[in-house]
Amino acid sequence: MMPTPILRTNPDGRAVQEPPPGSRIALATAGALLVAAIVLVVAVLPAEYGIDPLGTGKALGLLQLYGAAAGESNPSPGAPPAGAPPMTMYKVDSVVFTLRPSEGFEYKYRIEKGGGLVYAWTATHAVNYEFHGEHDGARLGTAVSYEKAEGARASGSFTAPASGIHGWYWENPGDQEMTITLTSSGFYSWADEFRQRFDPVKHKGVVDRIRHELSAPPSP
Amino acid sequence: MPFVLKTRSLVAIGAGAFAIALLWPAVAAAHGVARGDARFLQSLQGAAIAPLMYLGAKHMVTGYDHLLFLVGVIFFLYRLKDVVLYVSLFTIGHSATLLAGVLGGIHANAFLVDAIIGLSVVYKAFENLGGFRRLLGWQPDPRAAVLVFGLCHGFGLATKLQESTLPHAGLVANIVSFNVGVEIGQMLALTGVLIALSYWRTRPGFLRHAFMTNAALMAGGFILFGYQMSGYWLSSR
Repeated sequence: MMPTPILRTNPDGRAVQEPPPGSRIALATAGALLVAAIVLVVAVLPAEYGIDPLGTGKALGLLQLYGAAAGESNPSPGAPPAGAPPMTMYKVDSVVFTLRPSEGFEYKYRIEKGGGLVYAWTATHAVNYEFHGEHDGARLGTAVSYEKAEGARASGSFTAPASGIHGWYWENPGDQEMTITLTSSGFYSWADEFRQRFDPVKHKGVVDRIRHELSAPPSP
Repeated sequence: MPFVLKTRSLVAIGAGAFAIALLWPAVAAAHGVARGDARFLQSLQGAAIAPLMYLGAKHMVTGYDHLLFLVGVIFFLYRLKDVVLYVSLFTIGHSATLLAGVLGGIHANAFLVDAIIGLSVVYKAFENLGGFRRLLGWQPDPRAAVLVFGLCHGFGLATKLQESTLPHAGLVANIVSFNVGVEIGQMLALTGVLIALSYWRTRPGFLRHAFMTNAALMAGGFILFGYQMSGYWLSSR
């Protein structure tokens, strides 16, 4: 059944050439779908989600983009891969941070699902803080909040509900410089400091990532 | 030989898709309210009109999905009156759901909404190709379609704001500012697109290339759809 040919007109009544034959439109549609599928599998999935069914992401170096964009949810080079014997990931960590007035920053650990963390931190005065996790595979920038409160100290144990990076955001609400002392031990592969530099002109934060050296646990 | 796609056509589709693939990481990183901005939103206390207008405009100018759809919408609109009409319908649609979404606390799934936005690009490109008339013999009212897809795009805008917890103080002022910023960004982007299109229409090859451009637009829409659906699948696993 052939549709009747329609002469297309512009809104101002000027006649435009007749629409192309239906077979050409159908082919263009199929072609668009095919091209989209190829681009998706060859480039987008490896670069965006680290899924690389054809190995093209590795061959073209697109997987590195996934590592850079989602850097936080990727184990750092040299870190033991997920599924490695957990004892190699057992670490102890003790750090002191200085926060300028109104400054906020984050300290986060790479913890695999089920990995445990025992922690205690104290601040020189009350801070706003949020204990949260960015789970692997979640949309970039989406965090799951575990605890959001105000206080000068917190301690406890934590078991990661999913693989990802888990840690704290602290914000100094006062007008004086303050320090936070954090001690932890647990099964994590790395710990990094994410310091926010707020640019008031652009209303945009610039995040500096500072790698922390972790100490090996004392031998039993 | 109706079933032979011209080589030139294939080259054009391929080139378009390749350009999209090359630009992809850049646009993907630019999309959504960036991390630092999200942190800023969470630290808000009360109304912050100028910053939210800026964020709204930035979202629109860097929001390739909204832009692709608008390119499709105004592609065959020759009169300024029609451009204004269609863009207004789109604006009414997305403003309604942006306000309703954030104020009414309607949380649409960001991946699904963005996938539908990808389909809206496919729809518009298919309409521009003459697909509805030729293959289905019937075409939905383009004005109704642009309004309905405007509603979908608005939910998309809302999910971008909802990714961060907005404080209640000054909420309405902040959302309205964001919305106004979106319209400003849209006007800026549209002006650029219109200038380019108007120039292109004066060239003899416009109608010939129009077909391929819309096919490439459709491929872009399909890529957006697949990208978002994979994200949805991954996040709900």
